[in-house]
Amino acid sequence: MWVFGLFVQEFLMALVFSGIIYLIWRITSSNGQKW
Amino acid sequence: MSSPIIYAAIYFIIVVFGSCFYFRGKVKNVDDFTTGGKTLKWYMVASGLALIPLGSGHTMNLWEASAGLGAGVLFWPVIVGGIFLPLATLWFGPWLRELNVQTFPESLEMQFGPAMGYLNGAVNTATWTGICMGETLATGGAIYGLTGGAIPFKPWCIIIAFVLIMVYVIFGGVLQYSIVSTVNATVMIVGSYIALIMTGGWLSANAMGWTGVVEHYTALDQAWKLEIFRFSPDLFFQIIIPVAVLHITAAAVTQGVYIPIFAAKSTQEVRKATFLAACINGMSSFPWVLMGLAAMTIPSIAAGGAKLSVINHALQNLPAPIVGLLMVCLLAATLSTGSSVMLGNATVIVNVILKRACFPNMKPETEFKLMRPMIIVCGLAACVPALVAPMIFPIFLWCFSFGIPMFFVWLVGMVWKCSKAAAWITILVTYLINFIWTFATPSWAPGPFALNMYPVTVSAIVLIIVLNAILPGETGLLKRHRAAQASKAA
Repeated sequence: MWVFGLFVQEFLMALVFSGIIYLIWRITSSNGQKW
Repeated sequence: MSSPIIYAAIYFIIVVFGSCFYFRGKVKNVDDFTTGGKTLKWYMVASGLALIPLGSGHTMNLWEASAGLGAGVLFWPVIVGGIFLPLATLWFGPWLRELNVQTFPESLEMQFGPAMGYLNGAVNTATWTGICMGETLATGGAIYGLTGGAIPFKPWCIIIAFVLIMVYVIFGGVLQYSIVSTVNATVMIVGSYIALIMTGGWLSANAMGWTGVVEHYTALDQAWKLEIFRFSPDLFFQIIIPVAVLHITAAAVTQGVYIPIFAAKSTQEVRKATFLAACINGMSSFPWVLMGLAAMTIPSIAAGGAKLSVINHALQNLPAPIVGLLMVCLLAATLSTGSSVMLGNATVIVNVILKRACFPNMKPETEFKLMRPMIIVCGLAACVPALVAPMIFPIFLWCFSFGIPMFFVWLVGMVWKCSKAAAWITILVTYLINFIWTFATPSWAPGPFALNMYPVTVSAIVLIIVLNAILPGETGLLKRHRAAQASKAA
């Protein structure tokens, strides 16, 4: 079970970091660039 | 010959040579070869991008490092997948596409004139040949280890690695690379997790399962090795900071990283690739690190050392098809990095050095004819030294450290100011520091500052900011380019 927990932690970290970078891009990108 | 190599050989013959056959006659000019005619969809961009920085570092280095630093080493793929790749897909890559350049050095040429582009083209190609030498050795090591030493490491495993790196890209260029990478990314993730599940099955049958692994480390007072969020100075200075700096800076100024981005159908397809690339890369190291941590609890395997832990565990405890699958996974990781570097280097040498610098009137047909021989030349430049010399860690960092100042110069030139004098002073001073710290490290340099990448990074940031604040220069390239495009449209 701890193995699964460790996997979830790692996977979520990658998602959270990329999500933060995406949000920064979304907030700072001008002229309505499309996703 | 052992059976795992037969399974791996069957896989690579089907995938690599199948793609060679598929692309036979379909790649007709240099644009098809280097940008795939700009046809890649987002999932192919994501697979290609995820695999480019995913080499021996994510796999073999990490299972070895986990023996000392624990599961915290998983910050490596988190930083690469969760930070570097989104930066490349949301900013760096789209900027290059907006400038309508074919290679990374062309963007430096637009900022600071042709000489800076040629410098990047020449230096980056040479330094990444050194890094690719390390990947060739790692690929050879994977073949040697997982065949149980049945094939001599030098020269045969190295030569097999060289041939596999070449056939990965030489027939279809970027299109072949992208399709093979899409297949490999899927097989690598699925295969390595299957091996992890099989490891769990073996532990349950022969030891006390994964609980036994916890008990083993707890008994040694090392339960922290099974936690990701257990920070230590060693984890910071050996994994987190080097991985962040070397990827976000040095890898970002390399043509190889941008291969799928240049080949994407549109900039939107590049952006769409962000989360898939982050997920593939971010979850890629987990099975290797966990297998490494589990393998080191088995006394006979721990006695063989952390470097061979996963390989020895696979050979001793897993069935031959799974060992074959692990070899495919390891080779998928290391070959994709090596081949993207070869394709990127060949593109820069032909386009920037030979065409733009030496023969400006070169015809596109000649450029196309030169691409394949140049890939072989670039491959030989990495393979031949690998046959005679070991890869030494400071030299590896020395190669990487040439890209660090170039990144800061490029970034400042993009978004703030283009001062030729500031750029050249920064580059030349930091290159000098890189040489001094690599070959005559000052005895007074404290702790981690004895490593070349730290003084190079700090001096590059300080110099480029201070010099640009003092010296005159033009506005950042992006602003100028957008203003020019707007006035053209009006």
